[in-house]
Amino acid sequence: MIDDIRSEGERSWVNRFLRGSGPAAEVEEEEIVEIEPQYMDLLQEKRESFIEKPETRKRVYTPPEDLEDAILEITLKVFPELNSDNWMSQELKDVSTKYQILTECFQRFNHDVPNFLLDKMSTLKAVVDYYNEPVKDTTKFDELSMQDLPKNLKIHWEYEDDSQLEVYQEYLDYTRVKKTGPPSKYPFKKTLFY
Amino acid sequence: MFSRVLQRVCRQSYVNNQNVQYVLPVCRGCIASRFSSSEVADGSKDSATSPAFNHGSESLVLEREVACPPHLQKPQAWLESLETRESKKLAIVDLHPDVFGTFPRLDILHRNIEWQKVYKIIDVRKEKTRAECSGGGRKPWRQKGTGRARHGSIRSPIWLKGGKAHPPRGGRTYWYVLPAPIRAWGLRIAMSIKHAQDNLCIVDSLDIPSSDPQYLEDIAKERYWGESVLFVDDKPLEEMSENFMDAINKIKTYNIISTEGLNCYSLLKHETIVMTLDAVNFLELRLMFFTKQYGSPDLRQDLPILRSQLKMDPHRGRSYSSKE
Repeated sequence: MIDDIRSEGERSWVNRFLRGSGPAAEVEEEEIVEIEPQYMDLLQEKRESFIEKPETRKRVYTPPEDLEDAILEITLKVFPELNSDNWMSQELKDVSTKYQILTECFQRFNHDVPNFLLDKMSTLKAVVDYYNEPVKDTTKFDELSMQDLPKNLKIHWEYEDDSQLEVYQEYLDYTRVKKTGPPSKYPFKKTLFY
Repeated sequence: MFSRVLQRVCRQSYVNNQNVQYVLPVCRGCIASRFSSSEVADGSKDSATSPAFNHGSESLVLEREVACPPHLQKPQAWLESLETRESKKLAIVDLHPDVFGTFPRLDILHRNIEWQKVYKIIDVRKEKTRAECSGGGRKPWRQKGTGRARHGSIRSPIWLKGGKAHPPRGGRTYWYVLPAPIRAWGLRIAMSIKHAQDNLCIVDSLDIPSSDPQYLEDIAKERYWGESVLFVDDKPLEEMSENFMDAINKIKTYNIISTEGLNCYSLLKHETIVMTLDAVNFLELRLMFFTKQYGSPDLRQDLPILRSQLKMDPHRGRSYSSKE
């Protein structure tokens, strides 16, 4: 916590009143060497994965390289008369053929078409376009942190909204104590729309 | 492995000549399911499908007939199963565009939710009028000569500690009934929103193999449902499977409701809605009824009489022969 790093004079009087100003001068204490972090230099670590809970409520999917060949193979089983030139323009009007193709795609690629997109899959081209889009569960900042950034570009991870007075925030913490219940077991982050 | 035979049951809604009644509009809702042995009526067709892939003996290719004009684009959804932990798609079902694909009228939805919140309120606050306050029977000072304002009692509303002029008087109700077509519209809008936001899941039935609540949570994790799930079935609560009820009772955010009790507030409160196909069939019938009836209650009452006794139908002209 930043309060521990700050020296006595820098902490506000409210903080000292609530949390005490430390042990008396007679008590021998170990010397703590405090390193003042620079403003933008906080927690610049390269991480492999920063995800505590995934951002999306969707299965992660990366399109395979032989996607079109795989889908062509699937369609030829259902529509054996198709030639491989214009197979993408084949329309999926019949529900049974659509079902067969899309369930086989689901089992092969482990990625299903959601309900609201099902009636948009009118042609095989739409299916191919859909399966070409990847689904990631990392934010832009996570991806950036995994790359090599230039030296003057740093990610400020613990950014908090500091528009309010610190003193006011401490007062609120004192008067309106927040009750934190047990952490929820829900495995994904709570977002409005993924 | 074997392939299932497709059966479509068409229900003819126009009845015999003698007894022409106003019935629900034509709805050839498809009732075919794995468990029903439905009677094959006149207009049915047997089409044996031999699918190219065998997705298990329980996969059923269902062609659901939706009673809507054929040029409309129908929203579709997977028909899934809760019997296995892994998500299993049984079919693709067509849905009615006016039930699962209406325009999201947020003002109608707001009206529904406000109504649900407000109509049950009984306000029992009661405050005293000037007659009920103690004291105040005597004129405090004489009418003229004291130099002060004239008063008749110390408990009049303009006095401190006096009674209130128009106080709340105990039981005040905020009860009103939103018209049934607006309530049905709200349900249609809520379900369209859930379908559009990938929060709707259609299921063949709510039978699960074990009554362990962890099984339902694993299912939800596998299929990426939300934190709160509302299960909707057509049966009354007493007839629902016991395994399922035992599991549901132990999870706080998973709830079950019958179609009788379906409401906009619950639909919006829970993140994911899991509906059985029976419930979908029923809801399409019942909710579309309100779009097809006359707006005014007088006409609604007069129409069956016009048709049955006077042989008049405003749609078909002054009078029509009973050969229909």
